[in-house]
Amino acid sequence: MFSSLFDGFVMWRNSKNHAELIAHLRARMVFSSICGTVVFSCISYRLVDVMIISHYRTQDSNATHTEYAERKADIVDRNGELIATSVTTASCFADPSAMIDVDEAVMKLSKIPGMPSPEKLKLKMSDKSKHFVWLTRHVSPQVHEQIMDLGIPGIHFQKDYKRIYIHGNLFSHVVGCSDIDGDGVCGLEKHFAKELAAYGNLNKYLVTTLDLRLQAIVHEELSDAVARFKAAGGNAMLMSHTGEILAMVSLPDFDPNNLKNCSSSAMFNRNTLGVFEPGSVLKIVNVAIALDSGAASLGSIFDASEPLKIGRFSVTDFKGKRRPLTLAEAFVFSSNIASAKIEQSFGATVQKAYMRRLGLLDKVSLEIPEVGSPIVPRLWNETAATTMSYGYGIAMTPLMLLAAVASILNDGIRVAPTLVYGKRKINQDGERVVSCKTSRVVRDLMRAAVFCGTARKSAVEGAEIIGKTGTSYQAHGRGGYGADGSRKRNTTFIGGFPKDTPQFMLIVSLDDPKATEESHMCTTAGHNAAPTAKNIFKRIVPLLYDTNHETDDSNLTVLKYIKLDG
Amino acid sequence: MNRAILLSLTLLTAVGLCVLRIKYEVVFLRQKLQKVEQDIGKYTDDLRICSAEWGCLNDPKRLKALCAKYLSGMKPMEKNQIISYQKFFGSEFGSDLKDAFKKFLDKSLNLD
Repeated sequence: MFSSLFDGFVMWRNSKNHAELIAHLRARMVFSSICGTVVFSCISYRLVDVMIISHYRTQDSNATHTEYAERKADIVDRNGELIATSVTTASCFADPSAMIDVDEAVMKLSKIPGMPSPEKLKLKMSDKSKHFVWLTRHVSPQVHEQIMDLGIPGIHFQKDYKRIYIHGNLFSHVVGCSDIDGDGVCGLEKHFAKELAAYGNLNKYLVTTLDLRLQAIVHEELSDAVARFKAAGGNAMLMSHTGEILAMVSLPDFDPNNLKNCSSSAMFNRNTLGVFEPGSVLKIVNVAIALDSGAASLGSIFDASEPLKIGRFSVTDFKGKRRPLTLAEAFVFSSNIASAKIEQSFGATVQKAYMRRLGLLDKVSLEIPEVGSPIVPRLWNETAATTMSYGYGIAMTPLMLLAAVASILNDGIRVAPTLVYGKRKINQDGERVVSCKTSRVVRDLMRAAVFCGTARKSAVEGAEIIGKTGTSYQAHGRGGYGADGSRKRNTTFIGGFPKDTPQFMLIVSLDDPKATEESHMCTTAGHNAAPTAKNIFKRIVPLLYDTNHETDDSNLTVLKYIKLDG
Repeated sequence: MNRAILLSLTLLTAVGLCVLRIKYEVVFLRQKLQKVEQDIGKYTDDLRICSAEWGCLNDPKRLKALCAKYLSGMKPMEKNQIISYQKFFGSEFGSDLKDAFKKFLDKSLNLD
């Protein structure tokens, strides 16, 4: 511009025509102004672009990226051992609108292992109006590299997370599983879906009450028992006196890492969903009610010499003593006749009140969605109450049963099961379900059942195991229990240790175990569930036992009420 | 008047340039921060993979198989192999050890 002015000044000196000169200068000034305006407009535009438009564009693109890639929090056991984690993977997607030659892309991609078939690829990528189509999820680094090497326009990768279950089927029912997007499908994964998603990027864990070592032992011994006794399935649970579940196994199980060939029966959690008539293990509750209500004492006599007639049915004993029995004998030898008569001493109303207090009539609260409700009789009359005294006529889950029995044995203070570590503390001021004295006597009776009763095969040398066995026929809906030859059984053991302060409670149940040489061709719980419990106790007692507890059955007062035949 | 306008324009241009420079510095630092965050994410991912691998290595089935292979002749401890503290020092071997332990403690205390 200055050069133009200078030129104009020179021209003014050399020119005589002022009007012509001014017009010339004005034209030059206008031209220079236009040039300047254009240049500064470009600079201004660029500044706005860099400082405002591009800035927000970058922020938007980041938001989209983080929104999709969401990492879930890990799940660990009570000792910090990893159970479930999310690892970074890459997932391949196509942008059909940006693809040049779909046929060529299909031909190249179909040769990569793990990719869909050429037909499926073609179908996915043929719609040019789409901008996003998943091709394959969670590819390995090798496949990722192979696809990248192809250099196909419109093929991209998205950072993704895959849920990995470190120990395969070991924790399958309790921890649960996730779908391909990482959303919980069942178990803890489903119950804590929001929390796991929220705490994933904060490096927080979900600490469960489970113990890897104990879970492995229980799983191994139960699998072994199911195989040895040719059972259709089985379940076992180990719980502490605070209600913390240390191990929970249900067989058959599934591998949460591979849900493709998983059957619905394998997904079924028998511990929390499998309602069943518990059989003689419910005599623990029956005896506790009799003692706590004051209707009977250890020495009370109940005649079990003849079957008990109730309407058109008669209550009989399996290998009965055929003589009058004390309450202690009725429990230790598991007499149905005597148990029915014990129930008659306190009646249906008292029984229902105690069962409600023990939580046997309501659904148990647990941190997994798969929790079943009990099946209770519509009409709670004397006949129903008598049937329930020896474990029929009412169906409950093993979890409910374990919680109820644990409450009786825990000095009569209610035990509420949990799967979250640190949630429950020892609470002596908790709700009382039976008296401390009743609790102590029931513990002694259960010790006697292991010492000289039906649970003898659960005894472990050097450990004060308490327990009770129960065998029941499987109900077939309205069809009763099936014909004599085709009846299937559930065999159950429930017990714990040490006797005086049971800190660990165990329930083992086998579904339709067969008679084998090992079980002396018997299918009762004393010959299959009890030995299974023994194998579990044998391995977990050295891990958990307080060495200050020594076995001493000499002061077992209940023994003086028990007459051992032969 | 013209000088004032010229000065104002000059100052405005200078301030604008400073703001632009600061803006670019912020953009550069933001990119640097993103890179650091990406690195942290990458290392966290690597750590997760390492802990997953460590979990696999500690799988009870694997450890049992290794024990069976390399610790043949040994078996898990049983309850009757564990005795209480009182019972141990009450035994013949334990009482000797208790005396020795007591002497050791006395000696240590005397030294102090």
